[in-house]
Amino acid sequence: MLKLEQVKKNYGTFSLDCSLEVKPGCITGLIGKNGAGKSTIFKGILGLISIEGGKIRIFGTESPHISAKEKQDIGVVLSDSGFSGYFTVHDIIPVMEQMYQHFDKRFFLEQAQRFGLPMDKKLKDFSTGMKAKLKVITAISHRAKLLLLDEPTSGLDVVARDELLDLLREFMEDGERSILISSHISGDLESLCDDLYMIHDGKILFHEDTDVLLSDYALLKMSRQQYEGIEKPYILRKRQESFGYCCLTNQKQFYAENYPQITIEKGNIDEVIMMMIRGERL
Amino acid sequence: MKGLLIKDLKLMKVQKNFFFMIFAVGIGMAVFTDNISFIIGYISVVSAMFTLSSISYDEFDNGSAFLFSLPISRKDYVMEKYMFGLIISGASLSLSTLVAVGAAIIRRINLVSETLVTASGVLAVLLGMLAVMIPVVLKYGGEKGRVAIIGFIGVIFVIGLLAVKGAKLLKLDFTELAGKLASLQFKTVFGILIAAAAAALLISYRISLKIMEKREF
Repeated sequence: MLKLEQVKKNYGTFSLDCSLEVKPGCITGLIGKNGAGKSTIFKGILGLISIEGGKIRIFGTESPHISAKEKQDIGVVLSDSGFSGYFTVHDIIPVMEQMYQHFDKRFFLEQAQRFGLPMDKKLKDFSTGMKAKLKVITAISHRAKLLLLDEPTSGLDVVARDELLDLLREFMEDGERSILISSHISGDLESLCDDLYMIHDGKILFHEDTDVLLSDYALLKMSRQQYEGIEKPYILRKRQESFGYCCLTNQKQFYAENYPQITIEKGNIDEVIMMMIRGERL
Repeated sequence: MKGLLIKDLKLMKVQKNFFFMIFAVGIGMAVFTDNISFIIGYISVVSAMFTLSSISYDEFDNGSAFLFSLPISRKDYVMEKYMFGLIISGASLSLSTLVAVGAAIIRRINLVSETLVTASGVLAVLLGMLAVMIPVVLKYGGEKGRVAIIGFIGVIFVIGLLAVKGAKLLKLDFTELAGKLASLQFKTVFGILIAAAAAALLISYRISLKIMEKREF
């Protein structure tokens, strides 16, 4: 569906060098802190910025510039950009009808009603939640094959986030569609994505299936002596703590079976990220 | 491109009170002042300026990034801005000319032919303004663009002033020249203007396209 191979972009001291793939029928998450390069990836895919190296392949076609035809099949949410704040929901409809061949006005109106969006209020007067819902509804209203969602849940409360994620799950019921979604809130991605890419300082730190991440990754907490005594082929990162060492592993079972005396904590995504970024490689 | 035009017309609707006011002032001038031809320039130039404002609206709050994620190309966008400018200029010029001609006939102040020649002159200024301003605003944004338009008006003013001074120095009768121009066949004046404007707009379009192709959002 979407493949990036060693895509490069430089901004002053920031340097992006990224490869990733979004497979058909999959939701792929991109996680990283603010400024890690998530938005740069989206902008590169959409041709909003020029890339300085690498290849981007969309729907099996490789082209230096994404075409308007390809964009017909892509739904987009950008974190810091949208329709003019002077528009109302009503104003968006004729624009979308002209822009997209398959814009489903009925679906759009149903969803706007479902989420209680005021039709005649200017978007600049919308709450953060309303704006975010409108962006997602707009992105999914033209039978897109691929959604590119950059921080679609940013600034939302828990309930609004849950509603939006449900909307995305409904979108995926078709089975042939794909989503690339970024967030710095790991909980959103943990419950939604099939696989995750972690980005830091413009580089992909690791890629893993969410199921594997949640089942096989763990934090091992142990004293200095215990650390000296364990086998370390499956230790990805280590960090010195007051009690000894905290280590990240991707083979929880191995250490659980062979070293029952060490404390094993199920790794959630936030902890894995912290260890991958701040931990020390062996 | 139709979608972009609808977007700009919707944005224009936001400013509808402003446009009503401009036309009200224009009609007021047609009723109460003797300089009826001025109405054409006033209404048309102020209205056509909205083309440039529409670019600022697009860029406001980083809106351009989302706009270019929609299924349009940069070429579509540039083409639409010129189309929009021509539509707004054409509509405002026609309306203001109708008001001026109407006032000229009813109040018997100006000759209708004189008013039409003024309209042709304004058309040239409008197209020239679009040709200069669209690339400037696309390159530097609305704020710097406003500075540029003041410069553009200044340049027109200086050219006019130099023309008058030059005419005086060469002992040319400017009134006679204006009279001759007015007596020229309307079609000839219009034809020359359209050809010059088309050339200027074409060059301007190419420059705008180059600017937009290099821009990052």
